[in-house]
Amino acid sequence: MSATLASMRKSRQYGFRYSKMGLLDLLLLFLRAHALLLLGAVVIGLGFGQLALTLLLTLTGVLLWHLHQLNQLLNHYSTDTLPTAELSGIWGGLQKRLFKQQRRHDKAEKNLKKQISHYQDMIEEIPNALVVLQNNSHAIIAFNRAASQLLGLNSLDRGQPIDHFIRIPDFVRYLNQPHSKTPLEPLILPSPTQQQTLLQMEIFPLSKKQRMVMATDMSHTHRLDQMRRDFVANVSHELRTPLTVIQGFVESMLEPNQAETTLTEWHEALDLMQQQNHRMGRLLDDLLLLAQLENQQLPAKRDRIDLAAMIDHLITSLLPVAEKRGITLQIEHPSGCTVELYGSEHELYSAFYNLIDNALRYTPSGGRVELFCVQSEHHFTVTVRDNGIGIEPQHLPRLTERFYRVDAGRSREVGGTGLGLAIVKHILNRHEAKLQIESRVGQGSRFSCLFPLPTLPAAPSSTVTLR
Amino acid sequence: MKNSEFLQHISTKYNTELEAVRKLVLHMGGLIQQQMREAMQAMLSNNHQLAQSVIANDHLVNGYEVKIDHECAKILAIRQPTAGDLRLVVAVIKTITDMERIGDQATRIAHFALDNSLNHAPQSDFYLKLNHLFERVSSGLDEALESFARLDAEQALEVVKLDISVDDEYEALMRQLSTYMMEDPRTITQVLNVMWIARALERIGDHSKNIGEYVIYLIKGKDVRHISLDEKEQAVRVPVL
Repeated sequence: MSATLASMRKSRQYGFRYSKMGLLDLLLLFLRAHALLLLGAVVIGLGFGQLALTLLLTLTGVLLWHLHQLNQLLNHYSTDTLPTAELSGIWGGLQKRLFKQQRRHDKAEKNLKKQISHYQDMIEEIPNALVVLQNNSHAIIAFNRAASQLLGLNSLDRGQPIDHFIRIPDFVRYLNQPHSKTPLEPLILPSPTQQQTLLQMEIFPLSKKQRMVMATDMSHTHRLDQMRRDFVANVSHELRTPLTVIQGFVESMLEPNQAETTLTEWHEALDLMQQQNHRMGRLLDDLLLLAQLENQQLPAKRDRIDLAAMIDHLITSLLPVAEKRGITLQIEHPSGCTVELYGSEHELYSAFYNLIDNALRYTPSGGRVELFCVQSEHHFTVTVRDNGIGIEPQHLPRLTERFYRVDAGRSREVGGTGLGLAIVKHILNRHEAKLQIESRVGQGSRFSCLFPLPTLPAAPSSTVTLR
Repeated sequence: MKNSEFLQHISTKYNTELEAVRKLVLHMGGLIQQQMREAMQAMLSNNHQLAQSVIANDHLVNGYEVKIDHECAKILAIRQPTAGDLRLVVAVIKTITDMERIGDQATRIAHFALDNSLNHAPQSDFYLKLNHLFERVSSGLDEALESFARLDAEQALEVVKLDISVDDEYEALMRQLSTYMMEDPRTITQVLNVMWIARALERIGDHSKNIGEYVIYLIKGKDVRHISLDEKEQAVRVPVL
């Protein structure tokens, strides 16, 4: 009883009186109504003495009513609209059932559509080019956006074989390999749309009838590979040069007819050997420092640095070098450098040292190297300015690459390691600072370290807020 | 003329034969594109090994030409094609001749790569210009083949237009090279070599243009050779009934 009550309450929510009744109940209701109607008709017919006519009229009326109900039901169902009026009797039950089924179906369809569109969006956004192919004809069935960019396909190409568009012989051969269950070895090819882009192509079996081609943009990996190879080649070359000098002397010392010569006669050679030795040592030190800087993911130490004192120290240690080369080295406006910086004293010292050292190397005798500090709205800047030979503009963007030489011969003459600016850049990066280089050929260069101001204010402990 | 129209014969075997010819043409296209690129790369990077492999691979191009010719003759003999099918066969026979010549030009460039006299040329500048010309010619050939694959008359017309700019660039380069020779007669041998390579590239551009014209003929049924660009454009714009 309570169950029927509950079901009736529920059905009232939907507004359908008959909806929750069982089929049997409905049938009984139906039969009862019709039996009563017929009984009524028989009584009236007998009363008037026209039984046949009354029965005929009643039955016609009942039939017409049923037809009308059926028509309404069909109307709602075919036009897919919500029923405006509830049908009565057994038709009402049928209407409710159909309506519910339709709603369930609509909901499922909507959900499915939503899911499909999610998957579609996902596939579209994948940066790898994906193309689904028919197995034997290689006809294109579907592809994503990356495929149109990397492989140059457009929407009209569906249904056409993929080798009409990617015609590279290697790929065609790859495509025609007999299918296997396991994916084939990937193939590296230039992209048909941009020759500079390298693609890694792979083919996966999808089903019995379909395969998928996936192309991945490899240019970034390729570039890294190239950089690594270049680096190894450069390091070996840089180490080889001093080694050759030392080896040459050692070999001539070992010659049998040199056995009698005394050490003093070799003095000049030993001097040269020592110089080369120093050079190799310096190179290794720089390499180690660079490796250390690169490996440390953590931000630089945040000690309070007395910049003025550090610069004083720098100038005193480099002044003898400058004097030896006949260059004036000085601080402009020493008072500007009294700002307190936070960071690793050791690293910043090394960065400024490298900058001044570079300036001294590339400035001819009689020139000037100046250091000054400026505070602007957003930055605190330490600048090293020289009036040396300058750098041509096309070299500027690559200057901080390891072992990048503007003029290989000259660099060796002045004796740098080729790593100085790379080190400076790394150190400044770790301090959230930037290196800015301006230069004019023949007029000199200006290397500025820009420290952002928000990091300057007092940061007493190591729990400094990092932006 | 649409791609699907070749696949509407009662005999499915006929369909596959026509499709197979089209596929062969495009594969041959891919091969000559590679030959051309590698020849140029060999020349720019002075890679003798690569140059030799380009020369050695030329027989593959010739093999394709013979094979496609044979297939076309077979279709003509057995199927007696009409209308679009006939135009396809005719266009293919003409296209492969031009493609074979492109292959020959690529081999020619590879031969120059083997020639050492080029090494001493004031390289970078010439090479840069040659490379630029090559990029244009190469994209022209690519578009010509793509228009054949897509049966896209508009794209084929682009190829024809692109060839005009290639010719202009070639002219400019020639003038520049002759001034080089006048200024310094010692460079004549090297500059002549550069001229030959530029000439080969320009010829490749012309062949690509021819292929573009065959594609327009195939799609629109109109022969657009030897008429002005305006008339060609008109032929392309006319809708096919």
